[in-house]
Amino acid sequence: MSPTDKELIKIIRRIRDRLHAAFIINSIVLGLGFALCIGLGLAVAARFIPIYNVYLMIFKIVAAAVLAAFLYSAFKTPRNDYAALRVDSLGLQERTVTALELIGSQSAIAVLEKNDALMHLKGLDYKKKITLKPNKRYLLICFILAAALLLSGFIPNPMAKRAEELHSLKEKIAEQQKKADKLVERVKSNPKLSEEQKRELETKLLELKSELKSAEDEKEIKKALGKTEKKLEYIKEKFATSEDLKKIADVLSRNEMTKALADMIKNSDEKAFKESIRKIAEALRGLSAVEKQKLAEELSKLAQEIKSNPELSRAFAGLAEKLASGELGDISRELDELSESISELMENESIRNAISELAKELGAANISQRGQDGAGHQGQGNIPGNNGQQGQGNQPGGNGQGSGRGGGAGSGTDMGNENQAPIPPAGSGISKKNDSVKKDGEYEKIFTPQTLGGDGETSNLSGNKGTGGNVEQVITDKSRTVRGTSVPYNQVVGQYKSRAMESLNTSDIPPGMKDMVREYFTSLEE
Amino acid sequence: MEINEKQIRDMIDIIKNVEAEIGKAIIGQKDIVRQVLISVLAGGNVLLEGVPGLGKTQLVKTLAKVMDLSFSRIQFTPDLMPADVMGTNIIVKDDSGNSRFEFQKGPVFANLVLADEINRATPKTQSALLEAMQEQTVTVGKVTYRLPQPFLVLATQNPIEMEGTYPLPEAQMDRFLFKLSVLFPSFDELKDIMDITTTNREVELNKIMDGESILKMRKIIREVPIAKPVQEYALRVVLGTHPEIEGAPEGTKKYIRFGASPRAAQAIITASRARAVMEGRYNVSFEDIKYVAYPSLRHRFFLNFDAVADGVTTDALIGQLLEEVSVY
Repeated sequence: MSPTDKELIKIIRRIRDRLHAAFIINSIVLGLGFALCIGLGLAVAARFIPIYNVYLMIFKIVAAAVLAAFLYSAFKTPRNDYAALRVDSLGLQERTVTALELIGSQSAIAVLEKNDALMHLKGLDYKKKITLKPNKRYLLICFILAAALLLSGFIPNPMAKRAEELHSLKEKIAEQQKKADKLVERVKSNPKLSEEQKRELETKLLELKSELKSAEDEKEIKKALGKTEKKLEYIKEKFATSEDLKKIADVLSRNEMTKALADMIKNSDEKAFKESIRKIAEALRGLSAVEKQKLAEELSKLAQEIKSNPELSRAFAGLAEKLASGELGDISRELDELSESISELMENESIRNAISELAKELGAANISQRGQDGAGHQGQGNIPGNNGQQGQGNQPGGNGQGSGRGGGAGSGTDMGNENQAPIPPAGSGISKKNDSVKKDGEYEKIFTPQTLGGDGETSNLSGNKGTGGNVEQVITDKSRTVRGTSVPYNQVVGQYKSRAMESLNTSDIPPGMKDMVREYFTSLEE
Repeated sequence: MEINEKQIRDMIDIIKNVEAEIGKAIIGQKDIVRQVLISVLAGGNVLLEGVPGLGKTQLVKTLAKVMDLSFSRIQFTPDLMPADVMGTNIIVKDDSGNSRFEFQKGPVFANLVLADEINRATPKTQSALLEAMQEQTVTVGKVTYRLPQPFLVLATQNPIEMEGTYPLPEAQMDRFLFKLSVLFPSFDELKDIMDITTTNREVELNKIMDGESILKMRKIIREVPIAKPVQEYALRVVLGTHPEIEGAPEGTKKYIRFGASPRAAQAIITASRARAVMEGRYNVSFEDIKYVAYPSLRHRFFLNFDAVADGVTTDALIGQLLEEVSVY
């Protein structure tokens, strides 16, 4: 390479580096301008739609844009031929780019051309022409945008508080989603559940998760929370009730030897329970005949009470039988069955607790959401029992059986406002927005006897047909005045539903019918 | 051929002198003079278009004088026959009294041929020039004769009088390196023309170069380097005249019927090299390409009816094309 070639390359590289530096500076300014433009758009949008912490978001966008512009431009080094063309555009008439292509050529015309190019390059003050100052127009735009953004910060944002509230709600939803995930895992790993049950539960939980995920605006979030609560209720019902477990714990706690087992059940310590129940065989053998008999009776009674759980009932009945006979022999099978069934109940109980906790939290989030609806939204609730407090006695004379029931129901309305979430008490009505949902007057009126949910006492009147019987009379005051009123059904539907749900858990209603009842009440609320 | 620095520098000086010498006899028309010189150096034929009396013939005569080249003028008329241009075999008697055919060279056998009002001749006679212009040979019967070098046809045509004319076929048009439009002189130029032509004042022209030096210059010019981006720009411009090519400019799609042939690209590159040297440079620039694109392309693509109806000219389309095609 000739000295001319070397010198040419040296100058072209210097020009290239300068062009690169200028490109980096301009890219950063351009990126900044672009980000500020988006930022200003966001700042304006935040006045109409709730955007959480919008200025922090803008700051992040600006920082990211500047960084991205820097990285992009820093790694995009211009080529020598580009630098040559750029410098040629400053009046060198493609001398440089031609010279660059002729590097290494020693023909007369090539040498002449390269010398000519070098002479012109030396005569060119490229530092003056390729300035490192950013493009003035871009810079001006950036300044204007930044000033506008700064000014917008001083103007109060009516949506700021709303955005914060929504943000916390979304965080809660995310938390619920995580919990739902954990619940899915637990359901999957629960060996006591059948595959079908697992599939059903998983599907419900995943539906719940996706609904939470897809909830984008306030209305959807609210809807998703409502649906989720209902689904959780449904899921909870899939697991055996904890009543049996309570009964077992109760019975076991009566005996000194099995008291520890009862505590383990109460504490949901499944592992310790399994370990202890293996050791109990020996201890049972050590019981006196009387003690064995007593325990056998209690277990036998327990087996009767928990007939709804046939496996467990059978296990207790078997154990009671062996204890009663005094011939304990090999009771490992009975104990294993017992251990397995109780473990299953404990696991179910633990899942129920988790679901309850999740439902409780979702309920709280939903209530808080209702409270955020502003002054125009109100919640209504009827509180039963405060005003009534009366007993009613039926007097069927001496014929047949009669029943008396004291009860009372009152109603109360909680008005929600912006700052105070109206928490509907038991038996609440339908929460609604004034501007979008029907007013009270628009709901169909129904007669409510005002006795629902009262605390009156129940008396059984016995007697035989035609012979007269006992008469039990309860005298109440105001018995006539509280017989009932016609109210819009939305005010009492919640109360009715609540009672119905309670009845579902306590009454012996076929499982297929439970869903129907639930769906019916849910439809009334919509 | 070994080219040295002195030859190149001398060539640049000679060209500048030729330009200055022609300027003595041709008032104004600096661009036309320059473009004709570019054609001479690039080795291409020129079609001069302009109304009568603009000094087209004077320009060619001056050129022949300054360059010390043989010159012949053929006035094309409808009854002009190919043999009148090329020459013909005639019977001659030798010293011993025997008769034999001998080829009598036509006016085309000159370094500079002025084909005046070429569009007045019949297509048959026009096409007789095709071989001479492209191959620089003349074939009569079974014998091919080589034309003297350098050989250059400068044809003129009148754009106004279309009555009784035969427009040049596309193939023949393509053989002209440049088509130059000779414009009417300005007031000052016209005044100077009057001073020279209506008085006894005579302009004395010096011979600056000869045919041999022209041939040498042509070889040097072909060595002038052209950078890849510059060459690619020229090619993009030529391709831009083709409406059928994807990504062709809107103007091309709308107004051009047929695009320029590859000869257009050859013409642009060669002529731009000559122009660069005339500018005192050893390389071709984008500006050279833009400068020669007009005379190289204006007769090589054909407008459609829409262009005629909208009054769009080839020069306007070329200008648009040069702007639209990116230089990088």
